[in-house]
Amino acid sequence: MIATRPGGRLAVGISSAAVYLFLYLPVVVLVLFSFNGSRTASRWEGFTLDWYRELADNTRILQATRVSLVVAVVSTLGAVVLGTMLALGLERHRFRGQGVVRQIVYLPVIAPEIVTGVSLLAFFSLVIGWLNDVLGRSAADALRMGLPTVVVSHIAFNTAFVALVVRVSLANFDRAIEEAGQDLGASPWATFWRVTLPVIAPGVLGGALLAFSLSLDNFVITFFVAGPGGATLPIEIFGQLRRTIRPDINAVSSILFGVSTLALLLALGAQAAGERRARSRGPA
Amino acid sequence: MTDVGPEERRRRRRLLLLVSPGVAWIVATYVLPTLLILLYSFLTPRLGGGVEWRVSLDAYRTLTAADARASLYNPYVTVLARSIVWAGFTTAICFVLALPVALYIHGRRTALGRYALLIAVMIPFWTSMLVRTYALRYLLANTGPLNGVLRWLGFEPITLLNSRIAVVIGLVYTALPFMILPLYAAVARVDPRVLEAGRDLGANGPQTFVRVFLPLVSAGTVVGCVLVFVLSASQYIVPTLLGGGKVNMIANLIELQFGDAFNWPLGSGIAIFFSALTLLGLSVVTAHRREAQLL
Repeated sequence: MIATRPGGRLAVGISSAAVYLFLYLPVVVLVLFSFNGSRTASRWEGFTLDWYRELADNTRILQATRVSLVVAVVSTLGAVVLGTMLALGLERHRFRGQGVVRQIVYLPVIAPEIVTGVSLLAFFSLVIGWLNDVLGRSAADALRMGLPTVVVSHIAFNTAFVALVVRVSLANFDRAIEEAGQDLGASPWATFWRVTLPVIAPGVLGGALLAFSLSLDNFVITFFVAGPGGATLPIEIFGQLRRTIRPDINAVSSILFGVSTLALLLALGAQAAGERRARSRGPA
Repeated sequence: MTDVGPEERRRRRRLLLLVSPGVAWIVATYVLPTLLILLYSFLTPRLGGGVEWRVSLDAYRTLTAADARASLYNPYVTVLARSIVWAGFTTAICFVLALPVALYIHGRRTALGRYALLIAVMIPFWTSMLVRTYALRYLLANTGPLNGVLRWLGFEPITLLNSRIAVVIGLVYTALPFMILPLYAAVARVDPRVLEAGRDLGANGPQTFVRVFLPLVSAGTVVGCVLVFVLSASQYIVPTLLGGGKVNMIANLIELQFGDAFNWPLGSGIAIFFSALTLLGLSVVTAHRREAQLL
């Protein structure tokens, strides 16, 4: 125990409670008021589900939800493949330049999103401009930024996060069972599918769930690469709440918060299950 | 070139197959675009967006020169300085608020209690920053729930939104989890016997705290501070939603140059300055990798 005196412990307890209150009060109020019968936010006029029902008629929100789900699913699948491969390479091998590779993989975690957003805007504009020249597209049927550019960007940062999460489960892994598989004549490919993957599956699943939630929530990078066809849910929410305050925005925001929280809890559950399994299999 | 056996050659080929697709993807979307805007920052702006392929130092001149017409007041430098000062404030406030939380979590007797409190920090860490910032704006709005309660209690309503105070509150609110998690990782590794030894050698409580405890958690503090500083200085959502377009930070400035102002070279120049700052932060964080692992 670091704070030993009762007075110190009390102060630590009270200030922690205040911090947790600060972290949660706005979100709890938002969710609560998404059920508020009144249109004005300063009064509570009884419970209603009207705003959730109204979402079903908000065609822009529905369209953005579809785009978000496509982006999240495709970018998660891509990132799980690329990120797991990266993790295997980084954790299972020692090679020259490993430090540089590790720093590159850390880039999406630390790079300020605003810089990534505008540099991807510049990059995609240049590449798409070249493509239009090469393909001889006229202004009417020219290629533009849209769903594909959003997916490419999301795969990039999701790959980094999946790689980091999977590396942790590989580090807790007892290599003897892999070697046993190879000694029994299994090819590296067969060893991966029959031995390694089943053991690290919880870590991969956890990484996938985090990637799904990151993609669903991303705003800044998406904002710059969305073009006309790539408006995801956060982009649409941002656009609508800049224009007017509508109570159904509270409802859709609450849903988004709920889905991300659920994905995080499932990811943590998967990781905890994986750790338990690794412990029960490995030698003491 | 050293001679390698067939086994080693196979291993190298396998490694290349595993690592190169992911590395290529991140290089194509993070490294190349950054190099591209580095190049753009030395070119001429084109009306309607993009660049003319003509070398120009105007972007850097605009960033460094004082504007004589505005009586030596350079708006870019002002916003840059403001972002850095506010990010510094935010970092300090986050440290002061996060330390007791890290201590409190560490002080729980059961693993389950510690885990539950950590998850309660991870939820705001992982969920949508846009939604959380919007929630704060909703709460603080002139006609929002906070003022509703104040009026109900008979107080005058307060105007918080679209002010500097609202932006700093928002910066602290969004960045706090990024300080708590690495700080907790550091606190959890402190050996309580070392603190006892400090007391046995005659240090009083505050002395033990400053001279023994703080140096022991310094690595986690560095990681948390770098994360919070970079995140806060580059915030776009918070100044936009809580500052109401009146209180701008670096990200608003960059967005403006790539948007309505159509000065991509200038926007690139500001972004490059920022990337340099971040690379510095990256080197600090990877040097303290163990604390970053909790994230």
